[in-house]
Amino acid sequence: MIYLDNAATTFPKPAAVQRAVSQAIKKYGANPGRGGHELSLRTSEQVFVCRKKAAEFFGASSPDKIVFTQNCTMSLNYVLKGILRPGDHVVVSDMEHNAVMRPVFSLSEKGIISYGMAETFPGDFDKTAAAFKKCIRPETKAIICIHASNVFGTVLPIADIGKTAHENGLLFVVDAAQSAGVLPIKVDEMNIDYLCLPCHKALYGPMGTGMIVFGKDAPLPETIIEGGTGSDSVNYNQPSFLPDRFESGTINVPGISGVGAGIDFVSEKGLERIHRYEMNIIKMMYGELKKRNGILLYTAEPEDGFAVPLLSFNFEGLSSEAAAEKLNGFGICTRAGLHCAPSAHKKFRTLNIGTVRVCPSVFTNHNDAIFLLKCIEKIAKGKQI
Amino acid sequence: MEKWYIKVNSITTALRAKELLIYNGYRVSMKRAEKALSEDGCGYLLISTGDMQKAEKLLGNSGIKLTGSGKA
Repeated sequence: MIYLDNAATTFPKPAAVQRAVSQAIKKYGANPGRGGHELSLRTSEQVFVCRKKAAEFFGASSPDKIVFTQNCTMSLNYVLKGILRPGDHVVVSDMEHNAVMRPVFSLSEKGIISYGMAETFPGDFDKTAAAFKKCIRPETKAIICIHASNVFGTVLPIADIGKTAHENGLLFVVDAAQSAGVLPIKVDEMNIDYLCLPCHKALYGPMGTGMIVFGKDAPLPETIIEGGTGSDSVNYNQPSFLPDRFESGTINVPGISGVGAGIDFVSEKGLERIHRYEMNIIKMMYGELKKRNGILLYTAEPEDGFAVPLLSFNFEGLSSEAAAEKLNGFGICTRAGLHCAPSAHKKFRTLNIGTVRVCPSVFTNHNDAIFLLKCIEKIAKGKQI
Repeated sequence: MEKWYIKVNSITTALRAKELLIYNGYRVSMKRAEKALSEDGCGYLLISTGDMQKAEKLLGNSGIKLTGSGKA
């Protein structure tokens, strides 16, 4: 099996991550922040160590600026539903994943907020940043945008957009689903108030883990989930401090341990090194596919700094789902369809057909890419599996 | 030497505070606040010896909110 669906979740996970999860189940089995006994304190320390690693990785001012969630979607919902109030306007990009669009749309349909979509210009950071600025209105509360498209890999200039947001007194929310662990992100340097990310993609943590990284001056959102936190318990009000405010109930200790190990893995290999390795694979694939008849590509050649390592394409005359099924027959795992991002497909005019998406990880090797290309050639020539 | 405690309201704050105090030369033990010491029902005590006022200032300057202190 050749797994190229790493944009959905990375597989395999590094041995160190597998060990960390297993070890956590064996050693850190008490509920952290609850009991005062040795095992609870030891488990709490393990969680704290992982928080510190995350804080350092994303340039957060303190470990308590790290809130662990189940995934990026939950992170975005906590933030968006926590910061937006009746009458607010938000600016989003024209390539958002449904993790942003659905909560925004839902709030808009209920008459709570309105939103504007900034046109993005792949490869042109200045024009893209200017487009966001153009959408700002007096009632705009926040800019919310994806860092990199999960369908076409396009990177947005979040540092510039963050600067625009803060210069205009706006909050800045970033969906880093495809960029956390791929591109360097430092929340305070980039004027990010709320960085929402999954820990199970390029951070190589287990599924069921996500994070919100708060900027140092980010206002505390209202809560949509309240419950026991092991702190300030006599008070019926949800705690007003991080991370407890957004971590009600028992947290996923084995998952968080895995996240800590994943961050170590990425840090040791080096973000730039991983990025360069994966981009070389994608560039090679793109170059070969470009030469072939019957293959549809939708972007310019992926360029460092302007793209993350993933690639969408189609076979002429074959639906994307049928294509992915044929690739599956060769033992190649890809994802087809709309990738929960109809906005991106609308922009690139693939809404009615979707695309086949391939995304390598650090465990993908050159031979995997060569095999994929051979299979694509066979499919394109109409050979039966 | 006389032991003292500093109280904080959450495990994350307690671990941050413990780390900072240890980094600054304090020997620190940590335990959950007993009910008698705690008016808000939950919290953690950092127990140490030495200059308590200096410790409190150190933590305060680092943005760590203290919810109580006294002799242990």
